[in-house]
Amino acid sequence: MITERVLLSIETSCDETAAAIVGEDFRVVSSVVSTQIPLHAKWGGVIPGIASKQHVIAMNGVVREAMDSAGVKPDDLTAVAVTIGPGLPGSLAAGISAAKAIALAWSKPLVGVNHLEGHLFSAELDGVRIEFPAVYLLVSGGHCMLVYAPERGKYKLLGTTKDDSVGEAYDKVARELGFEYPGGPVIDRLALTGKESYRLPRPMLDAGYDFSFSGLKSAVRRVIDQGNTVTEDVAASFVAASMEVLTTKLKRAVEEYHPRSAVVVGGVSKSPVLREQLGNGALGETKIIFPSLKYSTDNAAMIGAAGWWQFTHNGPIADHVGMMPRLSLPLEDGEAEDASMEGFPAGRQESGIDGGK
Amino acid sequence: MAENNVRPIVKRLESVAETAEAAAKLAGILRAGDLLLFQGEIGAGKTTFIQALAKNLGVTEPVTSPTFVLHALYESGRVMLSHVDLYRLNNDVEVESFGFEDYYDTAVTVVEWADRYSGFQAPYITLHFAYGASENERILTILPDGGDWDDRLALFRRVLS
Repeated sequence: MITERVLLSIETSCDETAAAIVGEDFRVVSSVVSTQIPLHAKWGGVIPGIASKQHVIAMNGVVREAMDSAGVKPDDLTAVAVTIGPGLPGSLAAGISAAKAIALAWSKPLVGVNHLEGHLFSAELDGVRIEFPAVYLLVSGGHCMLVYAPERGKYKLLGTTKDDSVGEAYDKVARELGFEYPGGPVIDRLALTGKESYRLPRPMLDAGYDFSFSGLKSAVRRVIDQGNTVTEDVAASFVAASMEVLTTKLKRAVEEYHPRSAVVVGGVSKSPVLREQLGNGALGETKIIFPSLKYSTDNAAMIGAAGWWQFTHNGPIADHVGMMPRLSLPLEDGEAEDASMEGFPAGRQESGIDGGK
Repeated sequence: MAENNVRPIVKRLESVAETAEAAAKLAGILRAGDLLLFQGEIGAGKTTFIQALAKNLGVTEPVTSPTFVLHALYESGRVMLSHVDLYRLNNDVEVESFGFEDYYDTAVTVVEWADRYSGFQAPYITLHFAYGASENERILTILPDGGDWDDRLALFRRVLS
């Protein structure tokens, strides 16, 4: 029997089918992630059609396991939260359809969650509290951005990538070196035993908060083309270059904004190199916070935490809200996204592919 | 594949600026319904070229690599731009499930890593990027296939040379 208020959260923006039961204080009562990575590795990556079908197949089992392992019955739920974007349209639709059906059947309010905001909340699960103001570095396969938050839930975008995300560069370099998707963890592992023997560029190192990883990728390709390369050393050189870019920009933001916390989230925040470089007072007075490794990559627990925040501050979403494949963070301070703060759904709809499609 | 007697346009691009300039010129002749297939190794300049192309179509949103999201639609320009990336796909299986064909008629469709799919049907042009001798040099080869592409590219061929 559960006594605290909990919600059920569902995440299907890419290739993980996930459900979680999360308490109002962001305690994770249960978190289930069914990954499609072994399936997609066969094809070298996510295939949208397969991904959405797999979400549909996995959904009920994942939700049931999240409910059962938490010992939660439908009556115990305060709300249902679901990722509405950004993500792959078919994948998002699978999760949103399930969540809408559950909310309707069980008469629960439905909360829409921005996947990016979910990542920002991933560091606050299970008792950790970010002290604000904070600077977030969100680094994953699909995203690479620096965000300043004067308080929880208020965001100012400092910079984003001009071309590839850092996670994408990891995957592409891995593939050039002959490894399968997803290549990020392989590159990190190889880098541990390699030497930084190739001189690679640090794109846009001195230029503000924006990122660029396309040039670095080309440079790695040129090194490989020269032949006789030591794989471990290529990995070590690439990791050194990309981590220097990430840590330099984060440190720059810390120096300018003097946040109380610096929070690194997203799949690339698993990188042991990044965690080591930012450990032990690397940011002075600013406390560095990483999510648990299991909450770095996509999961529903983080959607549950962000869902509680949205539910408390913006309430449920309207019935007609559909998926928003290109949703961005709800921003403040005279950014173009200003209007998006007028109410939920947070963030702007950039694309014509919306719920009406 | 290309029809007989069609001469490819081959252009040496010696800098990022020259790549952007060529893209700007190509943007001038594009219209809804066009299909542009991009090929070339990683970092060979496909995204750079498409970013410049988008800008010259009047797209105001930032255009980034769609590798992760696979498909992005930009509607702020004089014509809709549908940006597809097949990098993560290895074969034709399920490519059709994507849905980007829905925008063939109403948008300029640009496809990165187009060689990962064999089902494209002419008319289209293929733009192949290769590394040149120096760090920023690229060799761009444009091959028209079908429709009125050969005529439309004639002007482009002149301004490039």
